[in-house]
Amino acid sequence: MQVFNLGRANIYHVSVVTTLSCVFVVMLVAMGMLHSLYFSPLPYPDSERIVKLEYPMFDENGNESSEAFNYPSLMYLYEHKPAAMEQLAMVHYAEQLLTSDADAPQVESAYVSPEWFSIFDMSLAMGRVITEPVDESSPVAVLSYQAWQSHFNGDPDILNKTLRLDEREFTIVGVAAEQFYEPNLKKLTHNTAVWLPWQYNLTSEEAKPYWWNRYALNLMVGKLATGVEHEQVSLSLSNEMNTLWRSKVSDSEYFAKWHIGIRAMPLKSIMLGKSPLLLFGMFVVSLGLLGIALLNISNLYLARLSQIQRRLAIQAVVGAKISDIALMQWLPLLALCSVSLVVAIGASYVICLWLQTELVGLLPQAQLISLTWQSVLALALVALLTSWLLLLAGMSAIRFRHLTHMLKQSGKGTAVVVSARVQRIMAVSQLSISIILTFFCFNVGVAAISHLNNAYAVDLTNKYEVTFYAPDTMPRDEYQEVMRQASEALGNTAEVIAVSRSRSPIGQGVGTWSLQEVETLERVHPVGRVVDSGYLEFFSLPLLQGQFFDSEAVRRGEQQLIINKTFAEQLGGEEKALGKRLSFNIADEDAAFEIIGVVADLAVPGEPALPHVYRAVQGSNTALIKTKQPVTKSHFAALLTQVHPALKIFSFKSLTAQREQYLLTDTLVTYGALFIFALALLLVIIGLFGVFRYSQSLKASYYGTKMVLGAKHSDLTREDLTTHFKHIGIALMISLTGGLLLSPYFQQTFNVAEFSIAAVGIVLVSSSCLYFSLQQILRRPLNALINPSELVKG
Amino acid sequence: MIVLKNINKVFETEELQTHALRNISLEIAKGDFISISGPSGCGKSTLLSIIGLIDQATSGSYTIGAHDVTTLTLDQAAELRNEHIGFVFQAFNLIDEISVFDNVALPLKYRPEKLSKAEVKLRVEYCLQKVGLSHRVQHKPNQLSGGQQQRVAIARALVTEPSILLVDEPTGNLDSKSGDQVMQLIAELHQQGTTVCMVTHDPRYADMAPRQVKLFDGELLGTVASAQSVSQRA
Ligand SMILES: Nc1ncnc2c1ncn2[C@@H]1O[C@H](COP(=O)(O)OP(=O)(O)O)[C@@H](O)[C@H]1O
Ligand SMILES: [Mg+2]
Repeated sequence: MQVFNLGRANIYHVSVVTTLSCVFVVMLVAMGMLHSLYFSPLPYPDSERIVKLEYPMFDENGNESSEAFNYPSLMYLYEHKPAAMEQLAMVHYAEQLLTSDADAPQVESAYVSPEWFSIFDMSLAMGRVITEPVDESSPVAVLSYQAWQSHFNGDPDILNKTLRLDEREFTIVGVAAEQFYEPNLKKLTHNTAVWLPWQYNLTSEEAKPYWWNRYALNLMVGKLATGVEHEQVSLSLSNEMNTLWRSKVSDSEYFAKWHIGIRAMPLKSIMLGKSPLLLFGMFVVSLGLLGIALLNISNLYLARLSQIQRRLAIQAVVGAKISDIALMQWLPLLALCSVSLVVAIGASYVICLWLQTELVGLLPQAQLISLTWQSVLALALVALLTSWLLLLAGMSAIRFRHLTHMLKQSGKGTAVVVSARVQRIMAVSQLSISIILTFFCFNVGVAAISHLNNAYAVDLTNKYEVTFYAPDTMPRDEYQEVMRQASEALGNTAEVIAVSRSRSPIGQGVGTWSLQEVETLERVHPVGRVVDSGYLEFFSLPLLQGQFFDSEAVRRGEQQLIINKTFAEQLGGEEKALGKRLSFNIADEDAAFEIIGVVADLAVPGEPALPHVYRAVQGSNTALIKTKQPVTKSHFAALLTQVHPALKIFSFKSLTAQREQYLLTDTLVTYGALFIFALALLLVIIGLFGVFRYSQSLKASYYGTKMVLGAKHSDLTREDLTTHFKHIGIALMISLTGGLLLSPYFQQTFNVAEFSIAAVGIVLVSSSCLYFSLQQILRRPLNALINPSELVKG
Repeated sequence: MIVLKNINKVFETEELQTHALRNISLEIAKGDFISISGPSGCGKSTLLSIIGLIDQATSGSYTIGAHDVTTLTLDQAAELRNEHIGFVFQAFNLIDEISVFDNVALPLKYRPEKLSKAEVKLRVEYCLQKVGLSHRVQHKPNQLSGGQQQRVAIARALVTEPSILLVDEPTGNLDSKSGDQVMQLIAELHQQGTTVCMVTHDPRYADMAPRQVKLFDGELLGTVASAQSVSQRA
């Protein structure tokens, strides 16, 4: 009996600690992320004063058409620093080959004006930062700690050595400290390997004078003067810069009704992007989980109380006051909450470490994620509150006046009571919540996973995108010829099965082309793709109508298009679309393209099937290759030098890796959501078990009495299952209504089959919970059942 | 009809062994009214549980009529209890959520051969009338007094027409007036032919039985046949 009790106590303790720990972990991670990313200052001096200056252009309708500086505006603003700004810095981001290294690896570079270093207070491992004013700087470079380690083996004598990026040499004058944390201004994964003086930035000389060009890679950051608000700066600079810009483009009819603005965006809002929404969402979800957990644990706790009521009764008889009993009950609850708290802190610490590396590329500033002491403190308060609420639930169920009676009547009756009606409501509500949760878990999960599987669902194995590099000093024609030869050389190797001189379809934007149908003059806006003649066959896209591109025809420059199924449907069906003519410039009779084929859609995640149009050209410096076995970049390096000594591989990416990278966000969000759903489901099932346990242990003496009167185990099981099925009937109706009502919020149509599977699943799981829990109770000696107080005898 | 031979019962718990019954031999004939008395903890309830097939003896043999019931499966025990044994507990053990009628009808529900609704009604009403509670049919047990509840429990024990009525401290939870009434009822049932085996530590009530057994520390001290008639005592 002792062992039995211990075992039972363990189920209770383990269930409570598991449930609470799980919920606490989610809460703590959510609070930690929210606090460390959203509520903590960034690791730069006066970080709240740092702003990114943006340069939006608005078209004649006032819609924002782009956000990027033109070169002259950028320089003008930098050279005429307004008084409202304490400091201004320019940065130009680029990807280049480190040609001084034998492998010529691709590195990310940043060309900055000297103020950049003081705004972000770069600490150094050695040497100095770039201090010379723009235009006066010699070609020097500051390495990141990472680059110093990986490309220069942490060489302690690195200072004053030179490195070569593409065709230019720089003298290394400094190395950043390991803990220096670079702000993400442009994209989530930019990791600058080397900082260089602004004057060597890669903006082409011919493009520099144009006031309407847009350079997405030329950015400006600044520090507001003390006491200045960013809205103020936006307003005054917008006026000033717009006047200037308008005067410079006054001769252009196209820009006649356009205007520009300057937007001073606080650094934090830039660096966090849309993640505050995600962070707050996660926090709200964790609160929901806490709610479910509280419901469940109070069920378990009530079951527990009804089992130990004899102990309570004895305490009451020997003179314990209500407050004494409450205190005696509170301490173990507090202990359980504390254990869960400790477990959760430990687990969250590990999870945060993992998230720091795993969420790079999904969350900006992921490296800053940490468990702050403030969030730990907040969780400790939540734990305290949890123990309090549980105590409250328990105390309200104890009928103190019955406690002392109970012993006199030698165990007849129960003093811990939740009315039969409330028990029924608890059972029905737990069942309904379980069915609804499982249904949506299933529904959203199936949709999300099939969505992931369908994205770029063409065969990507052993396919690579190779971008070649040749010095841009090379004459145009020679450059083209070298690029053609490079692809040809790859195609001639034994490993390579197929080559297409096109860019990878993965992660390309959805830039649309504005075309006009020649016959009807109707305007269409399909997504446009420039590919080579072999592209569609390279991806084995099924041809539905007409023919593929012919390489000879492409060489002759014939104006042909192939469209996808969705676009064909827009044009009145696959057969009708064939032979139609589309043009960018309807005025020019010779500019029209003819549709010669229709291919299947290539699904892109997060987008409905979009109309696509493919135009074939001869290709440029990028090639797609398909190989027999997995290969690496180094495989082809020597081969290319044979084609031309200066020819190098600029980038080499497997399409599978590109796909993974591209789907990273969707994948993490999907699995994160599924994890939370699964957790909620687990909690609800534990809760169901608690509800059954509680009502069954209240009914223990009834089972005993019925057995004395001749009931067999099978009779009792049948009786309880019958009641259970009545509850399920009600729960089914509630969850069906809930499912129908909530479906729109999950952006899903109500799926009867999935609902049925969820319902059947819960019916089976809950019935077996009930069954096994009941069998466990009936296994006790009959004598013990007749007198429930005997349950805790000894 | 009921024959116990050399019954021993040992409870084994982690720390200690309790020899609750030692070498008990006892015969109960049809129509007997036997009382088992003795100090608290001497093994009365244990003996009654064994007779009532709620518990099994550690050693010894036990027969009811022609059945050897020394060892039984749980389901066999349940069937035999339902057929032969009517139990009355100190704590009444009624089910609070169902009516007096349904409480009394409960044992009929667990019979292998089911009775028709009309038959059930007839039997239940007959038994309730026997205990004088015909007017409380639709009440819930907790709406009745203790004495009334115990009479409902007796009606429930009678409804299957058992071979023997086993009664454990029927007055333990009652005031003396209600206790007397219940004892009166039990004596009347005996006179109408019901076989009764009753446990009590109250000598006053023990004396009402024509056959009295005394237990002390798990051992039988002998059988005393009472000279007095039950009805005279009450
Ligand atoms: N389930 C049990 N486990 C262990 N010991 C028990 C159990 N039931 C009864 N006993 C012990 O057996 C002895 C007889 O108990 P019981 O028959 O209930 O006495 P009575 O009914 O005469 O007061 C007591 O010492 C009691 O502690
Ligand atoms: Mg007893």
